[in-house]
Amino acid sequence: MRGLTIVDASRSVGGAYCTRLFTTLGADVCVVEPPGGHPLRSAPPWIEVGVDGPVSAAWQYLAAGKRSVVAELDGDAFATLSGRADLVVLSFDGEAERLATLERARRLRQADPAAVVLVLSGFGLRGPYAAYRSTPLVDWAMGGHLLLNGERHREPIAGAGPWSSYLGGATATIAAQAALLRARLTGEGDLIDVGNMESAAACHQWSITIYTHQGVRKTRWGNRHGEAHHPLALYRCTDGWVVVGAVSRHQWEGLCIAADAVELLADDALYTPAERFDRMEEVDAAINPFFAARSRAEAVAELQEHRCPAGQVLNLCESLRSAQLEARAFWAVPDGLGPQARLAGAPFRVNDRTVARTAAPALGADQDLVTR
Amino acid sequence: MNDDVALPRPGGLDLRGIRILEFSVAWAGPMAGRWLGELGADVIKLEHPTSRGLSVGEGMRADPTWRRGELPGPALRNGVFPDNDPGEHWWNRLGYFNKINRTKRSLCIDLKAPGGREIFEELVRRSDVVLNNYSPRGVKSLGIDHPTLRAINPRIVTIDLSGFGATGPEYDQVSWGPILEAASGLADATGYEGSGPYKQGLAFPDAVGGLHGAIAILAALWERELTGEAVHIDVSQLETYLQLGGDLALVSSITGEAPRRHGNRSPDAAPQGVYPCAGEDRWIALTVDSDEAWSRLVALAEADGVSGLATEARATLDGRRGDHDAIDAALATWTVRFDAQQLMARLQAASIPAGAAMSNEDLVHDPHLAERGFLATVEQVDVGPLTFPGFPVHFERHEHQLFATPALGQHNGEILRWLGYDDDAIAALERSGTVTDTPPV
Repeated sequence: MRGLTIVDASRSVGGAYCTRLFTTLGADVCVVEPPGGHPLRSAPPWIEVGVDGPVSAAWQYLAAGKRSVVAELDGDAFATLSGRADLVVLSFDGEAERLATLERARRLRQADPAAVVLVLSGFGLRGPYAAYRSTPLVDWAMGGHLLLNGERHREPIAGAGPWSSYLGGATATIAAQAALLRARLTGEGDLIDVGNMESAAACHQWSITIYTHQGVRKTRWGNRHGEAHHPLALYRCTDGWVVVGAVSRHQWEGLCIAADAVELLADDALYTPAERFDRMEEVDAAINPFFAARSRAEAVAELQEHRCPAGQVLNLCESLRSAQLEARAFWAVPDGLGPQARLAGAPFRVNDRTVARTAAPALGADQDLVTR
Repeated sequence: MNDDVALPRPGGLDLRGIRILEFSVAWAGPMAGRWLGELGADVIKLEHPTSRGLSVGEGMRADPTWRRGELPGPALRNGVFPDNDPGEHWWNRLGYFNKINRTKRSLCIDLKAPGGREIFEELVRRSDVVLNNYSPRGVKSLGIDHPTLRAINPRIVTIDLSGFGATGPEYDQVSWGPILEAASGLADATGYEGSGPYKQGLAFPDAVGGLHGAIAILAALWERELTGEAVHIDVSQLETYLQLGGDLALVSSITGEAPRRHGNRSPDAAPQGVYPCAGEDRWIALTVDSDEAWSRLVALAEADGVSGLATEARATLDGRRGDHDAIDAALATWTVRFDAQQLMARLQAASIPAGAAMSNEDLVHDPHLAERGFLATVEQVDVGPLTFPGFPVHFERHEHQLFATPALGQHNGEILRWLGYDDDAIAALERSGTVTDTPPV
């Protein structure tokens, strides 16, 4: 999205991810921060990169390639910057911020009808929960994803990061891109309202459909995949875990042959994936010895040899060394974080163009933008 | 933009005038197409006669013993049929398919049958985008790779949305969502404290890949506006999924250590957790994000007769983190007495971030989503009116569009006539099996 100027006055993970995406697409993004710095500057996880104490890896990742200006959102500096922008990104949390943001968004739209103003929040600008506060864990819960993760006999668990909030950021990006394309053609901007709850609720596989179509309440199945397939699951090997996806008929046959589970192969009923799900304990009892006797690499190699999809459950250090990702030059070396540091590259490249990878800005590093 | 508006379409919005040809199966590709359709693009889904599946097959009949609320028996479960009834035209009643393919038109065509390729190439000439989520090998085999399509339309945008990307040693690996989670390192990072790794309950990488696929297409359209030339994007779902863990990967790259699994806890907020509520499998997630919020939480609990929560040490974040297990145990005895939704309202009224762990049933009946018009009821061929999750964005000046998933080949005649085929030519294409509205038996 080369040629676009974006002012990011949001304070949320979703807002920061949205504008990170624009940065990787070539837009010029300026973060407008409060005097004490953006809240993500102090958010976990942290890294030690110098003598000044820990810095936020979340900020380093999400703010890479952006500019920084310190300004109050109701002052002249913000008005100047936003007046030059094609897109202004705002966020709020709770009722007082909601009212202030709504007023701010209206002012921006009145000042420049061609501007696109994007507002992100946990629950959106309107509706019974609009005044509610949110956090990444609350986003996981309210979007309906939390309840589906973890063991049935224990509390549900969130993923290892604020990923449900990222869904809001990605959703907001799509909406803003579409509005910017239209604004370019018509000169007409818009005010866009995106809530994380709704964004996450829109990212269900068939959870909502099995309720509206059949009245079935979906639940969680640990490391198995509910409710129509098996195995699409994790198994323990001698040195860690592997994932197996025996979904089709030939994949199921390949698994049975590799695992020497001929009794399963002989059972016609088990060719129906949902029958395997209903009999998952029996299936797993038959194939677990195969995994228990092999390393991850051995198990995956034998399964793939029999055309059964499988992969090692890598930890992040292993993912950082992945031959696939290395061949595609996915990991980028950021400035100023040491020779070992790696940042996730852009999610995709337009016409194979490589996006320059610059470090996150120091607070107010681009203050002269206001007077330029 | 494609200026050709001869083809009748429903009212368009931000993407009015953009035409997208979609070759896709499963979730990520169809999701990207649906998003753009709902933003106003004209999305034509090119379907092979067998693409809605053979595994569900012919001869299926409704199960008379099934009752609403029960998981269907194995034979019918994959289809997510309305009322567990495949009906006469099962291929038009697949719930999972109808959820993800709405706001598109369907051209059911065998590209390798006589005349199929000519139809496709004429469509490419009249379109802006060709989206596929096939394997790189399948893309070549079908002749829908970028060089081939650019030779037909020099302004075409093509997007290949595959599991691992179109290049690299693993480019042709099968990539179900859990396999991508495993390859990313993020399944390994997820789990209870002290447990093994955990996958997500649904194929999260497909949702993430679908969203980023839509972003890629819009970015490519922007680029084309700037250059006037064709654009190609190779999207790896693995690389889109890794965007979620960019902070964790940065830490691991510096420390050389994989992240520790921490359940629902946070290093900068305590207590934070998921606590039981009244009823079966009912939970509430809450985050105490300041010392003041802790005081408010304690006051609420004490008003309900809970004592001993507040200690001097727990007045600080470090103190609460050090005593998290005991705090969790005490909070659980309090939360379990209440309905999750009611407790959420009380906590939120005290400015404590909290949310009920919503089930699919809760989402469908949720008053907030209802007021925001999130759920959409559409009238579908061979099905009738049914409710689906809707479109999650609200524009002040524009509306989104949303209409039912097409029946297989529903728009064959309409599209072929637009391309210049008369009734006799269309009948010949139907006789040869090049186009159809019925899967082969």
